[in-house]
Amino acid sequence: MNATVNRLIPTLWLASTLVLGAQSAQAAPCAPADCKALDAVAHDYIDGWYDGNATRMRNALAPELAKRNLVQATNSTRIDEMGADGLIYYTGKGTGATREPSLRRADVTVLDVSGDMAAVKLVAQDWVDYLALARINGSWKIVNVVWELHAH
Amino acid sequence: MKQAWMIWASVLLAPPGLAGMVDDTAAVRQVASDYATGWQTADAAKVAGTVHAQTVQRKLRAGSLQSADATALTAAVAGNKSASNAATDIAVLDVYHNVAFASVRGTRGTEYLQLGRVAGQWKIINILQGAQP
Repeated sequence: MNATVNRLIPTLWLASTLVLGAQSAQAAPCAPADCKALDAVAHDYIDGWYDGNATRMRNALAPELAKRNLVQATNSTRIDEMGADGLIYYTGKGTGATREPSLRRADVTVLDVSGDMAAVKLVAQDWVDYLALARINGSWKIVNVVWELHAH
Repeated sequence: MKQAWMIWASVLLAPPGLAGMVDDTAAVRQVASDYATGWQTADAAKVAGTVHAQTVQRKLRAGSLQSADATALTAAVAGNKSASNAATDIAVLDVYHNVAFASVRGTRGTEYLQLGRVAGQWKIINILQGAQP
């Protein structure tokens, strides 16, 4: 029993330390101006969606946007895709619009920045977005998105 | 007594789903590593095994974006004349259920890989690639 316990302790400690370390490392530092700009673009995207504000959404997106969602079926996985035009259209229609503060979750974390590219995580009310952004003509734009609904 | 305290502390500190999270992180890292190694060795089949048929790659060049699909991507791998064994830095930035975000830094610059679990296998869905600062 004691030998088993002695083997177990280092393993548990290591696993806990690695996971906690990885979690705390998620908030990668970036230059304050970049962090502020990236946060603003992510909020244009999600608050634009919640507000039904197509102009704000358009400002956040590169025209080449590829937004993908994986739909898991019993024996297959389908990829659904929406481009910038579709997302701007549905935003303007008010598909996701709500003024209820408790339904407007928008937690933005800058995961990584590399020159004129960045990786951002957005936790929204019903889903998580991974945003890949590029700085084009001095402005950050969302280029690629993969998203997943929260598990309920 | 000390052993019992340490076990309880470990259990309390370990987030739920720890085993699955560690497994997924390792699997995502392996896909990113295979992708990077495939490029380094001009092994198109290896890269093809990591990407989904609907993968899109956006390349940031001089402030504009160029696009490539999975077919063009693997063809470019086969024609890679700058194959090398230079070190690459791979990071799993985040994993959330069936999607993940990873980065690869190497001689080809930085690549942000967005992955999804497709029929039980992690595949690269979207790529953003550009020069390192």
